[in-house]
Amino acid sequence: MINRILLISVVLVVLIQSDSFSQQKDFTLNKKAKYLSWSLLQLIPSPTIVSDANNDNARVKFGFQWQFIPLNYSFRANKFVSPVQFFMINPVRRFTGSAELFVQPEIVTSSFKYSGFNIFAVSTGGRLVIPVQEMGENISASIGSKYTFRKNDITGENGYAGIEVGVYFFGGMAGFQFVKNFNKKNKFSASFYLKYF
Amino acid sequence: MTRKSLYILLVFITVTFTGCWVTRIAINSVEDSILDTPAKITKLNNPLADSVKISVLWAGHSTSLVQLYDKVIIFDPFFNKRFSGLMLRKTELGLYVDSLKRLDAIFVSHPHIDHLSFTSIDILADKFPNAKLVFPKGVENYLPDYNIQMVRVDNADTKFKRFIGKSVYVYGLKVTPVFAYHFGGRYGFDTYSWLEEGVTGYIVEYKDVCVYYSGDTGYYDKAFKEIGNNFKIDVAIIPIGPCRNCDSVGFRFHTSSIEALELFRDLKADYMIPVHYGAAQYFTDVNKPLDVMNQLLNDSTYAFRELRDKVIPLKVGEQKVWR
Repeated sequence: MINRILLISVVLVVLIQSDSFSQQKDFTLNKKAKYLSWSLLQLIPSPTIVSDANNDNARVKFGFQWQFIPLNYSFRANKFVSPVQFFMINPVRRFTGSAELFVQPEIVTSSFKYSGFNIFAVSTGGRLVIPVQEMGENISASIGSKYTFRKNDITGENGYAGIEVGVYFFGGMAGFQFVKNFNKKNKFSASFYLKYF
Repeated sequence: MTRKSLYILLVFITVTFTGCWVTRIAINSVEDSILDTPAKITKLNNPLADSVKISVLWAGHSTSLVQLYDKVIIFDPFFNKRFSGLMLRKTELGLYVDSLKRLDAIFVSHPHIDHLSFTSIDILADKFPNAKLVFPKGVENYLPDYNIQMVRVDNADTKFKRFIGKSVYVYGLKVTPVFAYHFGGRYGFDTYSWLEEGVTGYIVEYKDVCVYYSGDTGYYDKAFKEIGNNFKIDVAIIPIGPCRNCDSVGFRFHTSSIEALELFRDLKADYMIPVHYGAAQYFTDVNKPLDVMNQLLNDSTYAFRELRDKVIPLKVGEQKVWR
């Protein structure tokens, strides 16, 4: 199923790119292409590693996260645009300084052998995005906290809290995130963050 | 997730990012950007003067400082050492920003990385809190807030119906947005797929003088003839690059040397200052567009010889003054 979705996404993205740009006679916003390609681009996952440990052993598991930002408030929006954005987040308003709520569905590629956690999880939390270089476009950073809902069939736990820090490049659309979890069996996770708008 | 999924995902990401020619150019210039430094150039200590009718200082790439009598404006200020934080500029900026004593308006033609620099505008906004930032409709999506007044102009549309937009007055300067055949956006898909708006050229009139700044544009004769018929332009600042095949037409959205000369002739302007070459490594040598333009101006097989005395190529940091 995932294979099919990804394959269709590749085809659609290629078609949307070539179709829009071939209509060179008229440069007006193509809303259909905008929302369709944005939706498809949100399918690009962020590769992630998650720790898996018990009292005797520890290792890391590879997985994928998807990045959703239901709400972003920009501290440096100009008077012509809204500082509040939902889901489709303008990068300039984000990386020049903003606060946001995020949701991250996650899947790891194989079972947590030591900790007993489920391979599926959803994290939700808030973060502050701070500009570092070129008003944040070249480099920006973030700090935030989140709660990860991840069931543990052995201990009966339902999740754990964590602190997240991040550094971003290319208009805040690619970067690295590190999460220190307050849980002995899932001590940390690290991700290569990818999100377009 | 299987190995097959990972493979498809890899193709997806590769297609997404390599579809962008800007990315490809940036990748090609990685070595120079790491090992090289911008060429040193001679700069003027004081770019402003009394009793000037028009002056144009080319600060490199498209950045042009223009004085119209007592008014001082700058087009597409880009002071950064690198484009997008990666691609090193070939020559250093041709302007001592600290030496600038006055600035009335900052003009942004479109939101591409080589024309809209957030920090450059920030530097100018801090130094000149009374200056006004002028930009076309659509660019507001790519601008943070600045501590200066922001003026959004109703640009001429890109539907090939209206080539001259609505004029506004900025400190006595009559600013008219005019047609430019280019595209907005800044981050790949918003440019090529969504076709975000926010592109313009500018006509700036003050007292008896008139300056045209095209921003980035492709060539469309009907539009530029109409602009030329409606304004008596003294100086036209026109891009001559980048070009893939510099000896012929451009690549649709940038005028090549030959198209820039055609555009200049359509405008019926008195003088032309060529820009948009020399700093950013695109497809060819950064100065190839200028070499080709000089050949065209001197080659009798082309009909541009009569323009020879009207086209004034400046060195980066050089200023042309009309009194």
